[in-house]
Formats: sequence, C-alpha cells, structure tokens
Amino acid sequence: MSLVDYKDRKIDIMMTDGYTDKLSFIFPNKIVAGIQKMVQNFILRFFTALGSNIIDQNAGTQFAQELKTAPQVESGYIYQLMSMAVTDVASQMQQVPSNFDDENIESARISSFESEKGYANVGIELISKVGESYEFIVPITVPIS
Amino acid sequence: MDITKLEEARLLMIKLINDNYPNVDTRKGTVIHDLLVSMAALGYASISEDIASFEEKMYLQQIVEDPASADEAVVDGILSNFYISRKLGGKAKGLVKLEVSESRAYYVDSNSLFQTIDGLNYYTTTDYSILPEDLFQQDDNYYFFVEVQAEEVGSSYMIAETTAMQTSILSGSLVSAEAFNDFDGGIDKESNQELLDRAPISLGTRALSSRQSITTILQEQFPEVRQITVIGYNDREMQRDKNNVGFKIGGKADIYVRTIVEPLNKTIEKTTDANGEFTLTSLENGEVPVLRVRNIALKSNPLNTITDFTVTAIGRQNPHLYRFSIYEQLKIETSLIEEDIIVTADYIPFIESIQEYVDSEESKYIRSDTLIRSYMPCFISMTINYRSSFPTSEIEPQIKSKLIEFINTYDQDILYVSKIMDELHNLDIININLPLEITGTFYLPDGNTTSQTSENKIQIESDFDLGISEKTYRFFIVPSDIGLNKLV
Repeated sequence: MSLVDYKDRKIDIMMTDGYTDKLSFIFPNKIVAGIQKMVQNFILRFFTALGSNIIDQNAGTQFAQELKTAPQVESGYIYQLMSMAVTDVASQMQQVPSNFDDENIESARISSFESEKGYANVGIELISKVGESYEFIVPITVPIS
Repeated sequence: MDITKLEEARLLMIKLINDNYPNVDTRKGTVIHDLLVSMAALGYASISEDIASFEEKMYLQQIVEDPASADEAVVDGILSNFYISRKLGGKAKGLVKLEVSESRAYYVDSNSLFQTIDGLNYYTTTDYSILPEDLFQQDDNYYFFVEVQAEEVGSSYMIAETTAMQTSILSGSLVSAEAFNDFDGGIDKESNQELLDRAPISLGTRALSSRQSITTILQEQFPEVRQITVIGYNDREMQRDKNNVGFKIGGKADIYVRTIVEPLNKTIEKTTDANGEFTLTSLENGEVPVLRVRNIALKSNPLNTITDFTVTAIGRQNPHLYRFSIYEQLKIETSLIEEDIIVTADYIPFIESIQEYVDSEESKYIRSDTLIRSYMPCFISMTINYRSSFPTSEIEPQIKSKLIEFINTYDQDILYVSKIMDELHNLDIININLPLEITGTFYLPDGNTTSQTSENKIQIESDFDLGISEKTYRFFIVPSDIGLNKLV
C-alpha cells in the first residue's frame, strides 16, 4: 500500500488493523484516509446486511442473509453471491464520492476463490480512480456441500 | 420511528461533527457515519420523539381539546396538580328473589353467578343458609332473597326490579330468579371530560368557607356526589338562622347534595303500634334520611304492598328544617294495627358520611353550623304509550335508562315534557303516542305532598318559608315509576 498524504483530507476512524489472539476486534485510536479509507468503506458495506442500517437502508449486501437461510450450497453459488455483493458495494460507493480520487472506487472484482467444506476464502481486488490496486482476502463460513 | 425525524437527526449529527471537526469524513459508508452518526441519530430521534410526545400530553390545553383520546394515566397525573383525583365508580348491588318449588333448606355459596339476559354478571358476596322457616310462600311455591353484587363498576349494572336472571345453582328446585328491587350503587368510572370539568373550581381555599371551596372539597372527598347547592347567609331559602324574634342572624349553612344518578331504595323492618303508627328516627339502623316512603307491606306477605299512609316530620321545634338530613324524624300513620311490616323507602346515600365529615374537628368550619341534606325531591312518574318494531325486552330498558339518566341529572326548575320527548326521540327506534302526561309529586319538608300533572311541564314553585326553591329541589325518577305500554 502506498503512503497517504493527510493534508486537507477528511479522515475516518480506523475500524481495525488486525485481530487479537482471542479473535476480538481491536479498536485502536487510529485514523485513516486515502485508499485505506476506501477499502474500509468497502468492507463495512460488504459485511452490512442490506436493510439493517435504519439510517441508510440501501447500504449493504444480501449474501449473509442468503447463506444463512440456504441449505447446503454449491461453491459456484457462493461465488455468484459474492460476485453480486462486490458489484453492489462498488456501485453504492460510487454514489457517495470523495473529493480525492484515491478514495474513489473505479472497479471491484473477485480475484481469487477457494472453498472447502464449511468455509471459503474470497480474494477481492479494488482499484481506485487513480489506478491504485488493493487486494485482500475475506474469509467466510459457508454451508458448502 | 418517523423516517423524516430520523433524517433530520442524522443531518444534525453530521452538522455538529462538521462544525467542530471539519476534517472528519461523515459520508455514508464511513465508520464515522455508519457506526457513530447513525447510532447517535437514532438515539437522538427516539428521545426527541419521547419528549415531544410527553410535552404534548403534559399540556392541559391539548387534553381539553380532545379529552376522549387522552391517556387516563397522564390526565390523572396532570390533574393531581389541582388536588383532584378520578372517581373510580362503584359496583351495583341488589336483592335477587329466588323462587323455589320445595320447602326445604337451601344453601347458596358465596360467589354464585347470576346473569341477566343481556349478559350482565352478578355474584353473591357471602354464603347463605336458608332454613325452611326462612322461606316465604307464594301460591304453590316458596321464595327467599340473596344479595348480589355486579361483576364490574358502572351504571349499566343498575337493573330494574323484576329483571329476570339466570343461574346454575339450585337446579331441580329453582322456578325463577329475578331482581327484587332496583339495583343501586352502580357508578361509572369518571371520564376524562368529567374530571376536567372539576379542574377549574378545584384550586382555591381548601376549607368549608365558600360555595366554591365547599363544592370542591365535598366532590373530592365524596366522589359519588354529583350536584351540590350551598344555602347560607342572606339566601331566602335559609330559615335555620332565624333567632326567636324572627331575625336572620347567619352562622348556618345548608348543603344540598345529590349523590349517585338514581335514588336508591332500602327496606326497613318495623312494627306498627295500636294506632297503626310507627316512626323512622334511627340513623344507626339506617331508617333516616329518606326521600320518600315508597310503600309498606306486611312482613308475612312482602309482595302485597300498600301506599295508603301519611308521613309527618316530627321531633324538633321546626322539624321541616331538618327533613332530608340525618336529623330528620318521621311519623308514619297506617291502617295496619300492631303488625310486623316492611317499609320500602327511597334515599340517596352518603348523607351521613358527608355530615360526619363536615362536623369533624379537622374540616369543621368554625363560623358556621353546617347541615347536609338531600335535595328535596319531586318524583316524576309517567306512562308512555309507544310503538316500536323492536322487542320490548330490547327497547324498554333503553327508554328507562334514558329517562333515568336525563331526569336524575336535570338541574332546572321547570321540567318540560318536550325535553323528555327530545330524549326519547334520540333513541330513534320509538314512536310515542301524544300527548304524554307526566306527574310530579313534590315531597315537602313537613311530610306532606303536592302534585302536578301536566302534558306540558312540571314546575318547582318557591315557598321560602319551607326553604323551597329551584335551588333546593330536584326532579327524581326511579324505574318503577315509568310505565311502558307497547301499542301494536
């Protein structure tokens, strides 16, 4: 990840920068801007169930609800759900643009996908308006048959 | 939650942050927005809504505009600031006559259910053990009485005598069950509107010193009180404050009250003397005060009543000045010589309790001798010939209920037949044969009666020597004084 120039930028709180041994989230007193903020924004929306945020009911994705109610599913179905969720989130973010292009999303895609019984590792690549790329893996628990 | 209010709260939170921290990103999707602003806005909007709702309810003006939909608990809370509280109503009570086919011992449990055809439930409040010698005989059957109490508070439980009742007890022996007398004591819980009506006069001197404060205090202390008139110094009706030369010297107050809507009736057991006379004098035994003696019956045959008797106020120098109070004493002359009798009398309750209250050390007004009296009664009776497509069991209770409610709350000095007609026409299911003739029997404080019969009006005519005026008289009616005749 490239360094971020914080001058004249609007900052957000850093939601997390890792996990403790006990798997509880750490909320450090840190701030983010630039592509870090864009990625954080993406993850926040990605894991928000659509309609659960009473303030912004259009924010979020449906994959969690789909997987929660689905019986055993094929890995292809998981990939399809994730793909739709990634596209939805990118579209939602484009409707609330920042003044800085390195905080604006240009595109998002699934870059890798591995599934075993009970879990899937979904690799997601985000590209900002300035062409900067950021890739990360989202591990999720799924009822894969 | 109102979405508009929520959005306003969200924008307010964002503005607060932007004003104080212009470098913080508050766009949707940020942690600041989704986790902090949204939660703060939700809490703020929720609290604002509660405050607005609470403020709305707390304004007396808002309640006055729409008392029916105001929350009772809120109205009670606000009006407690005026030192007034809601009257909670009372349960109707009365005697049920149980006719049985066999002369034997009967046992009626406490809490036994009696039900009218309209579905009103009443329960006995005590156990009854009736021995064969306690039974009265009627033709080939026998009967006895039990007292029952309504399931709920309210005037709708004030059924009239002879109202048929059903019960599952005494099966095999029971021939019929019916209300023996008009049920009494059923008082509706005070509505928001009625409670509000008392608010304007509730603040003031909390002593029995003026008309306003007396009215306020007595209505607060005795929720059953519906109407109050205070007669005092310089009022022409006041006769008790005359000295022995005939000058009015003041220092007396007569308080006339009407308690529940309908006069109640009570039965008193007495024995006539060798002249056919007996007296009603005992407050302890509940003999006084009475509005009128309705009828007298031999104890051996309580269903055969007589109305041929005379009543005279006795006891004090000017006994008529104490009539309708707890100090009244009455002598009744009958043609029944040395007989055990049952006297049925109409009265309004709580006169004794109110007198006790105004005489108590804490509340007594030291500059005045205060006497509590029932309003002097003019009992109205009438027979209505009517047409209706509805069955008598449905229409007649409605007619009686309407008349009782109207006449027993009427507070003018002229009762017009046209106003009675207006009330009945409001039923909208009845056609009344005209002219409608009504009779008003004035029970005078000296024991005498006068009556007026008219197709037009019954009017209270003042006689200040007897303390009679529109201030001290009221019209009364009981169900048994309403005759109904359905025409085909």
